[in-house]
Amino acid sequence: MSKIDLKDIFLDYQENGHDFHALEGVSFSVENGEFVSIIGSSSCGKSTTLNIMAGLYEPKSGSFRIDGVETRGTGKNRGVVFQHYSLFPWMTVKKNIQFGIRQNFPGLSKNELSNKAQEYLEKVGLRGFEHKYPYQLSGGMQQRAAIAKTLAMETDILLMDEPFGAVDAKNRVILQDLLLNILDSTDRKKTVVFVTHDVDEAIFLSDRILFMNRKKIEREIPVPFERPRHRERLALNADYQQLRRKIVDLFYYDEEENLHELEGGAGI
Amino acid sequence: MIRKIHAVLPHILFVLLIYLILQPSLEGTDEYWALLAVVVAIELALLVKRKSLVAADIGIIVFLFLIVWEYLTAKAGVKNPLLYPAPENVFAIFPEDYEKILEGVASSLRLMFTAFGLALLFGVGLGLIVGLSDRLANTVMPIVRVVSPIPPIIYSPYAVALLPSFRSASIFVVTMTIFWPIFMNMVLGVREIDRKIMDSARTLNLKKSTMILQVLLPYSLPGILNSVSVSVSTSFLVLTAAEMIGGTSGLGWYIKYHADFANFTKVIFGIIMIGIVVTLLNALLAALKKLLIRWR
Repeated sequence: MSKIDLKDIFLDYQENGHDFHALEGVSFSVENGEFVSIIGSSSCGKSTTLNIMAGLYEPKSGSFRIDGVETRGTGKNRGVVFQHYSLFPWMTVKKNIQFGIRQNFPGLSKNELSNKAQEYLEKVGLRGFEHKYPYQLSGGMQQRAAIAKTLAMETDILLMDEPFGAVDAKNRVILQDLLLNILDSTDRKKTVVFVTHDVDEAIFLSDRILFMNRKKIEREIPVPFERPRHRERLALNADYQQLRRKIVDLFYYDEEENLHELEGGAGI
Repeated sequence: MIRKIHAVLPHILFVLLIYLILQPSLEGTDEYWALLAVVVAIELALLVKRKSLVAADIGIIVFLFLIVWEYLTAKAGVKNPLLYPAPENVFAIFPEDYEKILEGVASSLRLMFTAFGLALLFGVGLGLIVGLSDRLANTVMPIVRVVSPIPPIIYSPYAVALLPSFRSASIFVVTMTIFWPIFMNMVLGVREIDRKIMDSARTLNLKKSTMILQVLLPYSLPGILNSVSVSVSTSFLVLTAAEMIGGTSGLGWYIKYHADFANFTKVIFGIIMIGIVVTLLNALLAALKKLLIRWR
């Protein structure tokens, strides 16, 4: 049995009184402990798919199962990291993390709560920033705190919606390494679904990449490289370059097709 | 050079004013000491803020005003002292009348705080209830948009007739002045909360009470506090107006009472007191805002 299982998920949205399809039959599954990235160009439906898994959207039809159980709505078995506002601006970094922990472990004493928050704060390298408010941190540090908060909730499943999308290139690489290090060092294997439009990021992090296009999963691409992975060594690997080319081509292939359609349309 | 003169000018004016006060006609009286105390207090405040050019500007204007006032009324004697009291006579009201004045301030403030408490309680509470339900909000808000622009002071004659005491009528009218902005801001805060923050909160599986107390309220707090600080001055206006119409205590009453006896010295003093009280209230609120909204 797969950890996560989506079958024929459809979702519509309304704009100006018209119905549009947001998802048209999304199906895939994620095994326990697997790291899967969903990749695709803007508005292909990747974030929408993640929001379905987070329980923020209700699918119009189709089946969404976790551990074989049909699931609707949010749940304590899933933690979500967003691109922005994973932290509440009115709480300090540590308060944010404690707030997250308290929702999943209501029985903890004040001390235990503080210790647990501190432990995860230090894991993401934010010692000394406990009492800062989010606006006082850089984008990269905010995302560190967001990761600490979500990890501290100790959910089986981690859903990440372009978490490093608004971070500069250098910090993005640092955060990717940090994420992999933490995931490798935890005893209980987490199941991760990670949405991105960055091909290198997807390959470096994932066991498998799902390429989304036109509101459904179009390709599944396994990433065969052994862990732990080293960025520099990977970049020199011929297989890596080939895989990278293959995925980049997927993006362009579709764009060409779209162009043809546009030209054809204009002729009529 | 100009900057230097600019910084020294208020102090020169201070000395001039002191010279004016020291003219023999006043010496030794209560009035003399009262005026001296006020002028020295202003000078001390200026010395504390001596680095600030703005403070120097304000000092220049205040001292110039006092010099002209003192000269025209007490020294040149050009005006009728009943209608144009000298500054020393106005300031001397305080040692003479301070019990009544402080009682009046306390009475006005008690009424204000009661009204603010009620407005916060009902504004936040009802705002939450209405904001959380689409159907309620869609029904109530069009009505609110008609009712809320009615100036609450208009209700006062009817409120006096309906409510048991004049004081409760005043509280009602002042409460209404502050209630609307708080209520509207709360409804807006709940309904137009950033979707990203809401999504983030939803993924934490919050209990409804936690969602309200830890997410919706802190999110709406800046808007509410802003609307409160805007309504402080308005509500004080409404309050003093109400006290003038039919109160038996408070600063508005104090002014109206003495105006009836043509004691304009006390009237002017009451007006100055209202200015001071409103300024203190605003300062209090600003401090509260700074304390509560450290996160922006």
